Amino acid sequence: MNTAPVAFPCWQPSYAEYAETCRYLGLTPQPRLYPMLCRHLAREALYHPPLSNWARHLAERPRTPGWIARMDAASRLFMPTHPVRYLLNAVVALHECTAQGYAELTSVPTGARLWARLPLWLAGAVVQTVSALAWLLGQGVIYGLTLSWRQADQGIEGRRVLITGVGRGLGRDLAMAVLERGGQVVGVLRDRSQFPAELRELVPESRLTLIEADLSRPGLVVEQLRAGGIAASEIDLVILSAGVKYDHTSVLDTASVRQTFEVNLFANVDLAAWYFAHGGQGQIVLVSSMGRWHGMPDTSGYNASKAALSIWGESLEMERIARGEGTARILIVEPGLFASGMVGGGGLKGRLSVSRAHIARTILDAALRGRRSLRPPLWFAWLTWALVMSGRSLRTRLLVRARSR
Amino acid sequence: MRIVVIGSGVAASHAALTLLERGLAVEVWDIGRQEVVPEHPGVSLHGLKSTLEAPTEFFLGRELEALIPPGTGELLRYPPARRFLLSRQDPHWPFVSDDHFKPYLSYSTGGLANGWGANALAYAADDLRGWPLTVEDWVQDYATVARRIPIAGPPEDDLTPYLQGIEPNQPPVALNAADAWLLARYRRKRRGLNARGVYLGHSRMAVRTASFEAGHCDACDRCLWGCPRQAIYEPARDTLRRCNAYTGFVHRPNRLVTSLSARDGRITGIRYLDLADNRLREEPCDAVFLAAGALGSGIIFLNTLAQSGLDLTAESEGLMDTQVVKLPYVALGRIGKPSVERSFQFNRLDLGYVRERGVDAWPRYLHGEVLHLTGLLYHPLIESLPLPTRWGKRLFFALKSALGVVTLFFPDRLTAGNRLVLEESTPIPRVRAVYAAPTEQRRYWGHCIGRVQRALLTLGCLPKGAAYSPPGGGIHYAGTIPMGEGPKRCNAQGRSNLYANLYIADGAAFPSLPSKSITLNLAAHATRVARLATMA
Repeated sequence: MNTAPVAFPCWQPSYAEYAETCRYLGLTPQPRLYPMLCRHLAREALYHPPLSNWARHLAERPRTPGWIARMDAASRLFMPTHPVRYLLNAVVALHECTAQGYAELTSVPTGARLWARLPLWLAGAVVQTVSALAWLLGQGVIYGLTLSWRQADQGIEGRRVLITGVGRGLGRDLAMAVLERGGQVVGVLRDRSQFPAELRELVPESRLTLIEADLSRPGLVVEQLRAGGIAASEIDLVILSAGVKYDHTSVLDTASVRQTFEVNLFANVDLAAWYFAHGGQGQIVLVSSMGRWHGMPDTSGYNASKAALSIWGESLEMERIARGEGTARILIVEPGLFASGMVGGGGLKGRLSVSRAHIARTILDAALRGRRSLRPPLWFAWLTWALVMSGRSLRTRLLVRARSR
Repeated sequence: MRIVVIGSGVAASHAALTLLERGLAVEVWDIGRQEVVPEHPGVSLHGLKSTLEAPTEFFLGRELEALIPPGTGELLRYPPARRFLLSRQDPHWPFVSDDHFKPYLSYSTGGLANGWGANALAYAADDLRGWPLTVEDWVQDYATVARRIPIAGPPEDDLTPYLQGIEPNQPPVALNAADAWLLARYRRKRRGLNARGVYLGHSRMAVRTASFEAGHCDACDRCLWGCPRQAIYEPARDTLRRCNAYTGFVHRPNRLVTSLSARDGRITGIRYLDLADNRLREEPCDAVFLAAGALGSGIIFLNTLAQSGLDLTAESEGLMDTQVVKLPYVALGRIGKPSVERSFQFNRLDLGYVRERGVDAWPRYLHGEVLHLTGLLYHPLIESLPLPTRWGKRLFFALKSALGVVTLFFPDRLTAGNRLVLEESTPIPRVRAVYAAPTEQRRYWGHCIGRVQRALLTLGCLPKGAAYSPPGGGIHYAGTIPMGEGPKRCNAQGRSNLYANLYIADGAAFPSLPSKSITLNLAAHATRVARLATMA
């Protein structure tokens, strides 16, 4: 009940964020209302014009209690249709329909006590607004400093993006980010039911096409795309984010190693071959892993498959340049520690992990800016490279110990 | 003799009842969707929040369609618990676009009168200026209607000279503390305000208030959500039920009338889409009373013209709607007072502005409804305040008992260019509405709004801006087959100038649209048309 059924990054609050919003408004969170709130915001996200870069910059800040207060005041003045306004308005609307919420909303003093409180409330509103303005100024400076690369962002509105692995994890978040920004998604997934029914119901057919394909079966994905009437020439961006990882499975387990390579490498080769052979002119994003820089025991060849994917991606780029086959734009993404669903979420690892939604929007921004490589978070990339440079003996000792924990 | 009344709203039900009282047999054809019957009588609006199992779905709808998002400028939506309005997504929605005119339609038995604000005001001689009839022609019909409809109002007050024509037969609706405060202020400032043409008094409402009446109003604050005690008059429930007592009465639902067939200047049949099996059919008839609402009747008439082979364009002679302007205010003397939890929800006070001079001063009397905030969904009001929500909601609920709104209803006249245009004939007719408010009207609006806002200041109320309804949002549609000369009009008795046995029994026949609420006058017009119709 307390999980958002649909997660549009700039719009959807987690349950904790919903609870924080309630506290800010002096309301008691009601779990029954949370799914309704999520559904309402999902619908608004789909039909609202895509956010401007500035509005998105503000929406993507961590949603701390301070952020809610500052954005409440700032959006009142300058952005009357910012997602935060929809959030606050919907929370008030939903709570005023319940006896408890209505009682909490209307509990204001009367008579002389009200006159004593009014100046305090107005002073509170002024202080909050001034503080919000100062914060907004700071954000404006940060935004201004990064404006040069933001201007290169051509936006995704109206463009068609093929994404593999939209059934869960990073692929799903990428699809959400594309839809939120006004793009159209052709999503490949193993089973249609993996995609939230709520979202299938809400998103217009013109914006979302789901193609069922088991990527471990050679050639099937291309067959399914053809059967679904998807033309490569109509795809503006291809994000190959599907991946599989068998934990606690030996790298000598031939069947699982083969399957890992089928999904993580060969399916991508098939798709890229189909894309370029049928008039695709857009960019290809390969979602590899920082794990490609080193080995790892008992992962059934996951790291090896990602190494192969990164090197194959580089090779593809070289080959297309060498043959003069259009502008080669291959973005190789090697994410580090993030909440992918493939790594455990608890402990230190969980705390250091970057959110999946953050990784998704970083990938999308990088792709739109035409970057060729991306390794978020950067600190993890440096750590990995230090480990690689430290020599095989130390690396083996550390990774074997880390794996055995 | 087969007489068919098309529609089942206030005009249709009063036309049918009048014909039945004349001893004639009558069929009422409508689409006949049914309203939901409100439950939990006696429970107040806010009381429902603890009574209902799923209050959020009741108040906002399953898809939260009554949740008004920021930036829309809307302050109120019809409760989703009411089903009488036709959705724009409905396959039978008859408008090809609503870019410049956003109409409301109903395919429910009872029609748009199911959502009537219950204001029952009769037109005066001045309101009927330019009509081919006088108010004396309607005296008998107002008297008939007053026997059928409960009218709550005072025996006499300052508005009486302007709101004559129908005598209240129920005590006035009870005022709440905010209303009483405003009325007391008015009485102190009466002389000055009257000199400026501003009058205040009790509202005249179609509601049972007398305690001896079964189902009289118990101030549960749920008028907008559908009166659970059925104290507010509804044509489907009150008048059509009386029609049922006559053996000559037949109600035929599931019929979407598309056009009429005619020969030698007479209507000979009715073409309709039978919604039971979705097939087009035709049945013969001897006389037809068009009472499907000004828009519905206009559409049927245009499609009849299009299929008649006559050399007439399928465009209506006119299209009118009142311009509704809301003037919110804060009653300063009410700040800090406890808010009222039980009250009659619609307006308990009326305000009249009488303009004595000036070319645009038609009608002399401009009607306003004064409403102090009681039960409502408040989130759009909180969102409209210029403060962060945390402080805005506190301030709003602190001021709630002091908040009010004057709703002004600006009249409309037949204006060249404003019309319905038939775009498609089959399988069901679809039209385009062309509408623009004349520019000279805007000057008149500005003048009246200024006067009323100054009067509010005199009364110790702080006015704050003005909210205009979009074109088509007034829901008082009229003038699509107006009285007057020409083939696409009707005579003073509502008989079509083109077809001798076709009667325009609803607001389509009105040649102008005064400021006063139209509904009671629709009943009177329909009664008169049915009373005078000659059945050869």
